[in-house]
Amino acid sequence: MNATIALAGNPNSGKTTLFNELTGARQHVGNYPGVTVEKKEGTYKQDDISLKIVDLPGTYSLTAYSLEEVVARDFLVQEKPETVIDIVDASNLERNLYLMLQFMELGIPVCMALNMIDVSEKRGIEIDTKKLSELLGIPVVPTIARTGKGKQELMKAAADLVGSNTKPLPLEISYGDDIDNALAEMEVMITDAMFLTQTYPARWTALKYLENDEQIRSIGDAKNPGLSAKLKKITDRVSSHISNTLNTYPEAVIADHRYGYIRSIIRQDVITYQQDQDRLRISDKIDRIVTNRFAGPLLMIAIIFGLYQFTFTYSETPVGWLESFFGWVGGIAETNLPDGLVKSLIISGIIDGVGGVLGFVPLIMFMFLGISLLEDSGYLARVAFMLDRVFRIFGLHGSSVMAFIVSGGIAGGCAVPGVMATRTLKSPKERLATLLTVPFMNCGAKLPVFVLLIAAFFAENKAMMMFIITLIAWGGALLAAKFLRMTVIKGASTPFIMELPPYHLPTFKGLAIHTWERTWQYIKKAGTVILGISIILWAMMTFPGLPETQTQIFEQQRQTLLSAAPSAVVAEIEAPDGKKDDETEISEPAQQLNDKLLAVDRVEAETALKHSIAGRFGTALEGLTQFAGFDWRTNIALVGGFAAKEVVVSTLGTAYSLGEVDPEEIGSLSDVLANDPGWNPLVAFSLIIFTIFYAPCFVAVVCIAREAGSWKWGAFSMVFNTVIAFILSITVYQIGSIIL
Amino acid sequence: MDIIIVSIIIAAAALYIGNIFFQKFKAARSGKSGCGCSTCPEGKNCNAAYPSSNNSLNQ
Amino acid sequence: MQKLGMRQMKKKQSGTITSILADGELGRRIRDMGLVPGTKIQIMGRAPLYDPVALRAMGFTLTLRNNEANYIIVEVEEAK
Repeated sequence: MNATIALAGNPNSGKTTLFNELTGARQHVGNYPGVTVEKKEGTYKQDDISLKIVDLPGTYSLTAYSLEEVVARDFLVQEKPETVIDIVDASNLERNLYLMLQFMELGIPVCMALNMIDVSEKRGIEIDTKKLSELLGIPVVPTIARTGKGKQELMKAAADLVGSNTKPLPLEISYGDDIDNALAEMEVMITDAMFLTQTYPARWTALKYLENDEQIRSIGDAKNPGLSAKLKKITDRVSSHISNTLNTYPEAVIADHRYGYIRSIIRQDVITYQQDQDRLRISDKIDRIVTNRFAGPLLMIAIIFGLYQFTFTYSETPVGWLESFFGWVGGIAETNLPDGLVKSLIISGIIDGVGGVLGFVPLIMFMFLGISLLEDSGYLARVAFMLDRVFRIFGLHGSSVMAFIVSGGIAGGCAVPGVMATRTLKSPKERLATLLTVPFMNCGAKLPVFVLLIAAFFAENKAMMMFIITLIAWGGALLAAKFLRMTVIKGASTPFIMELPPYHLPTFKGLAIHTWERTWQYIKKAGTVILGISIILWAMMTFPGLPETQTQIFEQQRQTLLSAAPSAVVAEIEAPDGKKDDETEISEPAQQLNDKLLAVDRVEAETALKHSIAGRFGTALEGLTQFAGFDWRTNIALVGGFAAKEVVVSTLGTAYSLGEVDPEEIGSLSDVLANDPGWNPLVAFSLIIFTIFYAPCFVAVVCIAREAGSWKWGAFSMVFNTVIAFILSITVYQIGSIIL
Repeated sequence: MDIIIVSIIIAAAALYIGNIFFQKFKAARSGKSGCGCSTCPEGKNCNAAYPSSNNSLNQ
Repeated sequence: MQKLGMRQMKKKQSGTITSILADGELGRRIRDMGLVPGTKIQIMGRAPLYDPVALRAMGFTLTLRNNEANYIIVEVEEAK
């Protein structure tokens, strides 16, 4: 059997869980053509049944008001899947039936997965599935997607539907005389003219005209302007009549009647309640505290701070192991590779570059684990609920909270999906303000930068520092949004109607999957993009090498030192296992000579570095950046950060590694920075501020340009952000220098 | 000898990175879909790792 | 039996919706979620800054801004 089944349902009905259960690993994630709405496809195989499953976006209805709904219904009428499985939350049957009716009105073969019946049973909600099935005229299969219960029966029912090959008649609900008469009139006209009848049932098209459905109307205008105009006239007639007699309008009457129809079904003893439904549920009790006037915000702060504390504390050991590991690998390379360019590339470019980024994987993983926990439990919806009012003061929207969090509002995210999450904001003003400020968040790529600097300079107060960084990022974003709002045109606000799903104890499996997926992405990026960029930056920091004349001068200096020293001492140093063996005690004068030689090497290395392309570029920028406390090495790193923020860390790793000539001094990058005289907490803090605010990485800029509709906005975000970053870090550094 | 090896590696890295960025550029210009994350192939949705845009928060 | 805009309802108060005054997308969204005349609702609470409001209807919890709740007229029950 070769058929396609579409999976539909309300958000939070367990659709994704069911999809995962049915398709297992046989999934493929893509996009619906031309839009960034997620399209998940997979295959279901059982015995001799093999079905293609397409996961439609979760929706409450099929209007033309949102991209997801249009995508869902376009898929249904154009791709014409053989069957639709509507996943219904058994505890929410009434509201879930609203969507079901719309499938039935479209005349699509549909069967119902009555999901989460364990939850509904616990709440004392008993559903007579047989009665429900009879009254609706469709198969109803109880399921628990989380455990897979009912899966086979469901797919058998679906397969049967496909096999029976019957096209059900579109459901016709009565919408009251006024509308019913108009529908009849329009239906005749539509059928006669074969107006869109290939795709949509005639009555459905008529209904959409009455509902003022933008998509259908514009399709109609294009297809048959004359008829479309006539249909619109009928609509206007009915509208004014309803407005005069009932003081409402067709779309409202239609919605009301749909629920009336639903109630007429439900009322026939489909549901029996064994418990008082008004009783407070556990979720409600939790919410009493979590969204409480005083406890709510305090709890939010405590949770976020607690997350940071947890992450820093438990990741410290694993991060230490990784640092040692990379140090050890570096050591082996140092001893075993012949001196030369390849060795430098491998050690300074690759190991010290990418290693700097990979070393933080355990920390990143703990952070992601915490975020997944907050998301999967449903807590973040409460955060949006509590912050909506605050966000509105700054010209943003409660839904912007989600975009912020996705971008790394708490920690570890990416501005790219955050920018895309703004698609749900209808007001151009809200959207633009949100998408220009989400790059300020602590994305996963900026985390290594912060962690590096915190470990080096703020080791006593890691969690607190991270928390302060988060506050600065949010504060900056909100203020920037307010500023932008005052300069961007007004628009109608997006409704903030949001369901608060019951709290839900995340499954271990779900947490593990979410955490691992993101961690793996971080690792992959390090091993590919960051690696590539590190190599390129190494090249820019190595070439052109010092000219002969210069190297000769340094060699001269070394020779001078060697000839000045007594031959016995020289012999000590140049013994075969001399410099490399740090267990052999060498005499005081030998030690001094060694140190002096190393000093020459160091100066040579630094001169070479400054002489390279990157070095010259970094030095050139020093004129400006010195006011923020940045030296030429930091400048190179920040420029590298335009490609990807992790590169700031990897570049610093390479730059200091190239300057590090004593192979016995293998310290982690944070140790190196902490001991470097050019660095101190103020410089670190200034760099942190700069990193929070400056231009988004290239990929994010492209995304912003695309979502905002013009490259102008992409360029704006680069310039605007960098200027803010400079102003802030210079201010911080200058004031700090005076006070401290 | 060294310089040859190193040049090859650098060239390979440059091509690789250049290609990634070029792909992103191209995708943006043609208005094609895709999340744009540098590690995702075109069209793959990183919403798998981040909250989906069609969760209860959005209508 | 009093008729109030939902905005004016107090926490724990319940009632039945009598009419929705909103149109366009907002009106549609409100109705799609089941807030239609005849639906029983109960106010669960409000956010720390008194906005948005959380209410229970048909077994689930919904949040709305106060200026959106304004459009929903509810016949409130007598205090129990």
